[in-house]
Amino acid sequence: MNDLKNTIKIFHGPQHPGITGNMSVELDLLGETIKRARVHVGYLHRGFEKLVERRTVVQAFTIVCRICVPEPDPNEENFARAVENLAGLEISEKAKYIRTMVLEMQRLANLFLWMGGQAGSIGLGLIPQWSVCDRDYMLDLFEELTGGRVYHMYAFPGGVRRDLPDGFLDKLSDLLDYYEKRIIVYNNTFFDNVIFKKRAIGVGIVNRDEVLKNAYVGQTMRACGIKKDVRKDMPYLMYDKLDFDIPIQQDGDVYARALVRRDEMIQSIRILRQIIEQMPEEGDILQKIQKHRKFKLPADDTYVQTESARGAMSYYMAGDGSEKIRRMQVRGPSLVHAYTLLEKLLVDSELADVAMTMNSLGICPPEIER
Amino acid sequence: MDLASKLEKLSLELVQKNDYLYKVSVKIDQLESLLLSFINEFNYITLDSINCRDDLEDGLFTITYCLQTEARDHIVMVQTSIERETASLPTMHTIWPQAEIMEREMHEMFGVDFPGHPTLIDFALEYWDNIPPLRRDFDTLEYVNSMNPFRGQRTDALDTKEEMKKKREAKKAAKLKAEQEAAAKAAQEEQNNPKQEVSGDE
Amino acid sequence: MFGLDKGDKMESGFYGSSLKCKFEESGLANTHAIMEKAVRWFESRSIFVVAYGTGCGAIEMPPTFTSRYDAERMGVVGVATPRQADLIILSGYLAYKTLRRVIRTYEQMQKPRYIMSLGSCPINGGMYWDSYNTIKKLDDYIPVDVAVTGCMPRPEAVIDGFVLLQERIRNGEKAGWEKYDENLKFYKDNQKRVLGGHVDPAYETDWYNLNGGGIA
Repeated sequence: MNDLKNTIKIFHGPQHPGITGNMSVELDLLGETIKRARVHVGYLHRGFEKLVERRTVVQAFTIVCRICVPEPDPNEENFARAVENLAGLEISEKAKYIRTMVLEMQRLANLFLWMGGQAGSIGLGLIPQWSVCDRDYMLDLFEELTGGRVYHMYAFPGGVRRDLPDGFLDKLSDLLDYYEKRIIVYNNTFFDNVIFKKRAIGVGIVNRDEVLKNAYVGQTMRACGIKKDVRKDMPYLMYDKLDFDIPIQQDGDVYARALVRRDEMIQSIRILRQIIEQMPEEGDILQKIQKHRKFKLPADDTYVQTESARGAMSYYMAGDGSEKIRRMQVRGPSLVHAYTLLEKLLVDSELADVAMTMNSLGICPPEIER
Repeated sequence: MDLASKLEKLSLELVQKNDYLYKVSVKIDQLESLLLSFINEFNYITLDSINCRDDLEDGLFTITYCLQTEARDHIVMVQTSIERETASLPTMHTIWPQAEIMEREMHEMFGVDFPGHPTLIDFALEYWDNIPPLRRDFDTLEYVNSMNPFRGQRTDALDTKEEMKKKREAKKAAKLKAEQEAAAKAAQEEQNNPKQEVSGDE
Repeated sequence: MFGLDKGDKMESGFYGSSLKCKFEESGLANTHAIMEKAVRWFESRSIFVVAYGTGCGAIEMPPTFTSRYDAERMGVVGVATPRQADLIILSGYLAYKTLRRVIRTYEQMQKPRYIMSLGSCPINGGMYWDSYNTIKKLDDYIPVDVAVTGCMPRPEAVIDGFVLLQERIRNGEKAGWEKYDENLKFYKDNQKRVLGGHVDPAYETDWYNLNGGGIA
């Protein structure tokens, strides 16, 4: 407590242009150095786990995508796969390819949004103008496929809801050609930028020895040299038949995490090109659930994991023999990053680095408090 | 030693759910030693989440600890049950630091006590004075209707049941009318037809 | 989109009643009206939005304010603090914890100030109508000027909301902040009822003793 003797307390608060979402960090400052940080969430708490208990499977499927606002598709995929595990449904090969494609498209869109946030936090205002516009072209494709720009409600237990429209794969292929040229431009402007390197190298270093035990996931883990990914270790959908690498870096600071994300964008484009070639022409889209309003879940429980753009996201789901879902618990990647990791990283760092560190860890408050 | 055989020696059963998921049920007094043996002997070193399920009919909370291997290719769910009234669990935050925030949330949402935990303060709710909200006997519908009633209807709103009734009756009347017209037309054609047949024969 | 009753004109005008009397005394009432109109014309073309992403709809704010659906051509720019802002956009549902902070932010903004609400959650609860931590009818707690429907509203719909707000400012219609000052007791009673009595003292009206100081 002697460290906190002459400190000033400020709220890097909910109304602030430098935080990712609606949460606040309570800082104790000595000059410009942070001596203690405490995270406060709860501004977005809707009680999702209680809402789902009053709804059947079809009713809950429409609200599950709003648990994490920038990244709705891993939530839908987890929900669908948990219900399929409990009820014993099998999905066809074409539906698996389409779901994999949607997940990879959404990963690209989220990485562009991350790039805008990371550059905006250090004052480089050009990159958000470019990258949010590039993400919008992907949202146009999503609107053509599913009907909504951000919240899709597309992956249903048993398959997907609609078939691919005509000419969709050609449009996707043209967009990927455009993205490959743009990544070179972003490389020259942002990732090789002298100012970004000076601010980001050596900031927010994560200790390599405690990564696996403390369950730090995603790019935080891969930037410390640990080559693990849910898509390779516990493969789901079509990932065991597709050919891709897992990029790693060794330093564990903000710059290393940015480079890992840039390489993941390139790998996502590679996966999408293989899916476009291998997509089967014919096939069932949805295995129909008979009498879906009275569809009963068995009295069992399961645990599923998916790799979202920020790390491994897990769902625990339990049924009890009736139509309603008994218990669904969501564990997003940001819960541990925001509380256990951020409060440790911010000690003895500067006030100006708070926004940059939060953007680099990918902290998203709606999935911390659901 | 294999996982299944070691657990048989402790008279516990290992259930395999699919390629990567296992499940073990254990009593509350053997919980901590089992978790430590999972870490030390079988390399399940990561705690992914602590889940709680309220079984109101049996008067129990069912707690699940989900552990993951270092190679990230298997998950084991360690399940135990505790009483609802005096719910209390040993805290794991000295072994895994991430258990601190998970237990804090479970304390707020279910009312489970963790003796020795450093920060059992509120996590997502502010000035909450009711029972812990995720318990099954907290009735959300009643709470919501008393605190936040709906906005009233528009002044030109129509009653749904009456409108649907009118629609159905209009549909029936239209169908009846169409049948009557078709019958009248068929009867007229029959009148014309015999005359034509007679003329054709001649 | 709905808002206040159309056709209510502001009585005192932008300059306040004392200055208007001086204009009328010296026979320059016409000039006062022309200056009023000019000030409203300028004000409608430079609306500053405070940077506060309160809910789901904050995901469609970056596309609205960047180069594809450029909102800066309407004069709408984001600023950092509520003291510099004219408009606060409440993008979606409001939990009780956020409602306390939004009330404080709204009262810190300087007059004239406006509120725009996005989505169907502030109108009648939306899809979280049976949640124990969100409010249903935002009109009861703070006055809303423009409500944009959709879940989430597209960037074009948000820009349509800006255009409607600009027209309202230019016509001189009665805005939300006037309603808030006139019916302060109604709003404060509702806020205390739903927030359990834990509402911060009214930021401005108590300090400037506008209502006899009896509200906090």
